[in-house]
Amino acid sequence: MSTARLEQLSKQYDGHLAVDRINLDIADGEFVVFVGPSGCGKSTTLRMIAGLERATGGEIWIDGKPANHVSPRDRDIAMVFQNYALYPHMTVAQNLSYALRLRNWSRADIDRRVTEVARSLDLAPLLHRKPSQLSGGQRQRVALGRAIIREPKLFLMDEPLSNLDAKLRVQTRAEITRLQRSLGITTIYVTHDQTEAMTMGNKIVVMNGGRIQQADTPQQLYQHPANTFVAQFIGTPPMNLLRCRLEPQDGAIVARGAGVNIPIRLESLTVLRPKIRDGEFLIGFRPEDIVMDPGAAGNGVTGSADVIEGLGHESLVSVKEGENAFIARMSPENAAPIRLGDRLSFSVNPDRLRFFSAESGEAIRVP
Amino acid sequence: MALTQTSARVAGVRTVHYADSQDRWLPAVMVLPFLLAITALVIIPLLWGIRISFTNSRIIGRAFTEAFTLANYQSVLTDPDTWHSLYVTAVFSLGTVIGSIALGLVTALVLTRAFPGRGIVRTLIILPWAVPHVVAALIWQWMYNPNYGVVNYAIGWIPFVTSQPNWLSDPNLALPAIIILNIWKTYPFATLVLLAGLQSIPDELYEASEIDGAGPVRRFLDITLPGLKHVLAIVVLLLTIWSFGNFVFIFLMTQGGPAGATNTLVVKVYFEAFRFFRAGPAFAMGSLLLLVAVLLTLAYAFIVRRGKDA
Ligand SMILES: Nc1ncnc2c1ncn2[C@@H]1O[C@H](COP(=O)(O)OP(=O)(O)OP(=O)(O)O)[C@@H](O)[C@H]1O
Ligand SMILES: [Mg+2]
Repeated sequence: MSTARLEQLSKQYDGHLAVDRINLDIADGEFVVFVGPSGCGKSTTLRMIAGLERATGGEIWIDGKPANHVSPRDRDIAMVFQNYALYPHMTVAQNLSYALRLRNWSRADIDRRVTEVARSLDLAPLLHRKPSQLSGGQRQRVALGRAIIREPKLFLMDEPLSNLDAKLRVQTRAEITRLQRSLGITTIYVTHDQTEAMTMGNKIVVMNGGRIQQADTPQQLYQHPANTFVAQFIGTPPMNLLRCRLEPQDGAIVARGAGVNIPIRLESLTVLRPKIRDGEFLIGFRPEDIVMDPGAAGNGVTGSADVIEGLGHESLVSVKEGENAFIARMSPENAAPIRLGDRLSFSVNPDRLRFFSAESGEAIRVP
Repeated sequence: MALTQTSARVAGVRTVHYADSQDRWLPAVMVLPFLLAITALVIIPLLWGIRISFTNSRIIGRAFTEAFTLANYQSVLTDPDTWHSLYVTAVFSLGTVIGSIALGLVTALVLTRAFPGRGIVRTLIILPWAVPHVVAALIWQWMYNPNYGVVNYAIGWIPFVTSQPNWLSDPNLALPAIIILNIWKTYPFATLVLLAGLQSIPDELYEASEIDGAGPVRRFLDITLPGLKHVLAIVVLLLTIWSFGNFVFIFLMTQGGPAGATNTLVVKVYFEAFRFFRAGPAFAMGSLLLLVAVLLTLAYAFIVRRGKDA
């Protein structure tokens, strides 16, 4: 049962800021996922929490106590490494029991606990093998077992699934989630795979360039990205962002740009207007939030079909118009008659429209 | 139709087979000159020597006309001097192996840490290994000189120590003195191999064990030593083989003396053959040494091969 707290946490590698003043509160039992592109500082942050890397600025609190100067062995954490880091000369049983042996548990207690963990992870038949005699998935489970065997305060995992094939990854993903929920141990999980992040985490921390872009629930992250980076990083395909300006039309105000002609609600305008100084902004919507609608011309988004990708259960149609481009998600039946170069019109669900500053990329939340 | 197809396939197979066997013979042909040279210069003399060890011949050339006898082996194995030499050889080898590996391991552990000038130190450390044996022997002979050697000069600085030992002439000190020289000569090799071994241990293993709760000592015992097991075995065997066969240091420094204190087996074989001209016993002892060397080499090959499989 544990909480963790990062305050202005920073890591400087000679002249290069890998982690830049991040703040985060992690509640007891929470499953927090750090996600972001390669080199954004996820591993560095995790290793600072583990104590394997010294913070060059800021504070780490574990269970309300400052942990910056506590050595890794005294932090009572467990970590799963990307390459598993199993002890090659020890059997599976010895790998599992290593931490317990270091803590001078009795033989009987160790045997009981190893049996328990081996049963829960399906490792019982493998206990006497060496890591070199295991498959990748089995090694992964041993690494997991080594972490859960002593019920630590915090679980830390750095891309533990990246060495598994696609099918095993989905399976193990569910396994880890189930394990974490049943044990209730506060977990911090690093990945650069947003599907992993969205499916596993209670809270997702999107990082880029050493900074936290947004820390939120998967739903909030998807529905209300804090900036254009998050909007485009979360979701496949990413959120569509189109450049436009506010213009009057028939006594109302519309967002107009290449291929864009969308009426804006009055209550939204009152928030939007003061925030966009030079008049340009980005309008955003998810590919599933638009519907093909030939009657929508002049009241939605339009353009010519550029690329059509059939995925079997759905089709993705890329549409281009001048400087703007967007992707529409539709059923294969609706996409079937479309040919490259066809002019297409879509109406947009007004509740799902999002607005971003064209300069800073920050979201402008409107009612 | 079916027939032509079959014959075509047979022809195809034959062509492939032909090319294949040609590929296989080419390397064999290329090592042939080397094999011939080895046979002429090593294997034939060896067999010749083994043959002489079973005769009463005093002259090498007449080996094949003499009668077969085990007398040489009998006299060698019943001679207490032989067993004394075996003891000296064992102490010399064991002392070298232990000293060289201990010093090499400490040096390697220091060299894995980053410190200013590490690159230069890593290069300088190889020097004793690079110095020829003869030069090393001369340098150390001079250093051990009781009157103007640097060793006794250094001892003079230690408070309350007044003795100026005569290193190479004292029967109790001569062997340790040469062991120290041999350690000095071989520990760079141990250092380099152990350093490579240390660098092949992934950092993640240390990190994992640290998180599991291991302190520095346990990390050394549970991660470093098991990780070095294989290279350590190789270093132990090579150092043993080299110490076992070391002739130059002892011949140049003490000639097996004083009073046989450094009379290792190889030195004894040399004196038997070329000072006392007892070819039979010399070759008998030489054959026994050869047997030990072959066993050590086989052990080495076995360990190297097993490491490759692991
Ligand atoms: N030991 C180091 N010395 C110098 N720079 C480092 C070191 N370790 C990491 N960095 C730099 O810090 C930044 C963050 O690295 P980090 O390993 O945290 O990235 P990451 O988000 O885990 O990326 P990935 O998804 O590729 O694992 C990178 O720019 C990296 O080059
Ligand atoms: Mg990483």
